[in-house]
Amino acid sequence: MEKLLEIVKLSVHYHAKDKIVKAVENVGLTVNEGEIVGLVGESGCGKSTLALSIMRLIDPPGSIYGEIRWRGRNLLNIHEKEMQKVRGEEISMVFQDPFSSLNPVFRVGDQIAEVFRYHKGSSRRQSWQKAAELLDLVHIKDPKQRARDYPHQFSGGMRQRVSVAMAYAMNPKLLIADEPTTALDVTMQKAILELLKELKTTMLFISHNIALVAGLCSRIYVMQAGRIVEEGSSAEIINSPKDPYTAKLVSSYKEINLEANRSQ
Amino acid sequence: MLKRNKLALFGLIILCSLSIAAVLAPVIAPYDPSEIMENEIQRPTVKHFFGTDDLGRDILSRVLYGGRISLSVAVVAVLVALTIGILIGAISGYYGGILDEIIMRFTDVMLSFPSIFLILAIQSMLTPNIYNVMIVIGATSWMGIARLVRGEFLALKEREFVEAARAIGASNMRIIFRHILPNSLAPIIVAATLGMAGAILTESALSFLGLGVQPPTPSWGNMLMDSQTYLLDAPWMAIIPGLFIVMAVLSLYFVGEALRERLNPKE
Amino acid sequence: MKLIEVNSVSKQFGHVKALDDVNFHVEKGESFGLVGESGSGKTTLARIILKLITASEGEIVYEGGFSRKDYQIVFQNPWTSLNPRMKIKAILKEPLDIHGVKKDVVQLLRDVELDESYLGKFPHELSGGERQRIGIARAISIEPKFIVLDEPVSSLDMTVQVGVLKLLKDLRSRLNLTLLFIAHDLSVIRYMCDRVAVMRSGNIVETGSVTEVYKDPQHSYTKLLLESIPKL
Repeated sequence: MEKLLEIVKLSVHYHAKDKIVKAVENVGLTVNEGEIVGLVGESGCGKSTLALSIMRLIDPPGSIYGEIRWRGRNLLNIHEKEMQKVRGEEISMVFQDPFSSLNPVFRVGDQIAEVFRYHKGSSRRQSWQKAAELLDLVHIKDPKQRARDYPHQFSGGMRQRVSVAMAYAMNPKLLIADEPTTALDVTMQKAILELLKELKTTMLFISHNIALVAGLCSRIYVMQAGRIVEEGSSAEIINSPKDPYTAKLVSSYKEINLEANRSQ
Repeated sequence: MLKRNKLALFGLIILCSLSIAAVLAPVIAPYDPSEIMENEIQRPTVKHFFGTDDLGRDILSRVLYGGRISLSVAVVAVLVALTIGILIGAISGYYGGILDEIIMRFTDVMLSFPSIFLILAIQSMLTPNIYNVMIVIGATSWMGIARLVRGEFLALKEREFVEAARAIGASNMRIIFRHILPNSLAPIIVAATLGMAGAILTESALSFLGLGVQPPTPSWGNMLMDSQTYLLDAPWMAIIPGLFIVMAVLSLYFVGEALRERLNPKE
Repeated sequence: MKLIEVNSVSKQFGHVKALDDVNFHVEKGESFGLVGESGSGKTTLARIILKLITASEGEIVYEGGFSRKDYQIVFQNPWTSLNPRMKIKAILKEPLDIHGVKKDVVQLLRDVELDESYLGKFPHELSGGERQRIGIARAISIEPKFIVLDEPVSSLDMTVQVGVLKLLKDLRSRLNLTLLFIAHDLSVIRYMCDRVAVMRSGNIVETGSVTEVYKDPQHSYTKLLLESIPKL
């Protein structure tokens, strides 16, 4: 089993006015081929910054220290042009907000097709064909017709499916899902999670909801204030959390859901 | 309040200096601005730092007193414009509906008059003096502010904290003055700053044409008027007041722009 | 005794029918839950009950008549429901001044488990959970009979949610409040409420006691909502 992603001693600092904000501090994280790894943490813990750093989407004035090893190479050392090849082809990302991650003035089919035109140099016809196939893969009805629609003609849940289609287009080795269901209704949530499971891609699943993460992932990292405070299998994390913060996360969830769960 | 913007800092310093000089004119000015001191025009010397005008009056003193006039006209005119503009914009934006339509159409009509001609027409019908200059400028420049304020009110009245105020039982007046207005100050401040620059220019133009501040009271504009025939022989008569106008207007622009940048991506 | 009775309320926004013939009532002293996803109309309904918007059809009967003093609301978004330019002290004093209620704002803060150091702060200096507590303090300050809680904890981290929910439970029993608790999360409703109405697309599809609805959901949508709760 190949070690796909290995983050070693990663720190990301933002420079604001006269102080330094340490968004990510000394983080170590590994994702092996075939795994679904979870990253759970609450607002402000740095998990989104971490995800963006892997994709090298952090703008200055942010400085990154440490290593992000992708299949042996340190992504922080390679040229932007090389990184552009990695993004979308080898590692792709699904973002939280389905309303702003799609360009409102382009047809949905166009946006997916662009991935093929850019990475594979496919012709317009070929890439539109692929786009329709992908929409079908993510269970959008009448994919050929729907590909001609604009983002505003889709509901939030469907837009997220389109985002997943775009991310999956080049059959990436790793899919990073940054709170993909947070902005969606509860019933949509389940559907998107099912879809992600179906794709069988190696995944880094990021969320603030410990139950979602535990339900989907085999291994979990818990993040707080920029640091990883605990790591383990989902069973370990849920049943015998060692860190007090992890324990608090689990107990908070259990407190509200205990009775609901008992009746299932 | 960090003024990292060098231009704005420069502008602020100039503005403060001009304002202080204007306020302290009676104390700092070396001579009486109306006093005829010499028989002929003097070029800048130690005795008359900026020279004298054709009537032998000291230009430095005149330009300091003139600053009082020009700056106070700017401030009062803008206050007049703000009062009218904020009232109209707030009512229009907050209540909406037919009232808003009527008010906005009226504002559009006012805006379509070339204001300078309107001002000239009004001033030529009245006996021009400093007071009606202030009011006329204010009364013809409120429209931009009204539109701005209306826009802010339209947006802010939909915000949740306004809804919350309504829910606890706040009256419309309370909502307008305690909740919405304080949150719309940013663009108003910017408009006021830039408005002052405009007012200085307008007053100068009016006085230059003889329809503003009347001699012998000095204003930068009427000093320019006096300097016309002596441009080649005594250029300092024009350059000095002109320079002061430029400094005042530019510094207001710099500060206004910096404020706009700083106050824009709010919070 | 019924505190409010919603009778055949409908609301149309242009072409969109946000609420379609909604009927239910809330008993005095109970905690009534309204659960639904986006587009269900629950937020519109809350605002109609509080007379912040008017219904297109139907009416609401309020026991003892409606007044802003008696019927209050806590909003969902702690980042937008407090005036960013008002200090906490002013925010808390405002309802008291409007209705002529004499109360100590420090005591109000203590009621929501915050100390007096918060008085001089601005909303942006507080965390989401703290802001919601201020919103709650504001609502209870004038001793209302009835409070609508529009998804009061949805925007908060889970570890913070529990604290706020516990506070609400505590306040409810101490102050004898009637609550209308709106959420998209059935588990939170179960935790907080006695009875619940399930809404979808402007309609109420099921009503019942919380225990009944959980154990034996009648409508397919209710079942779907229950299934969607992620289990630990």
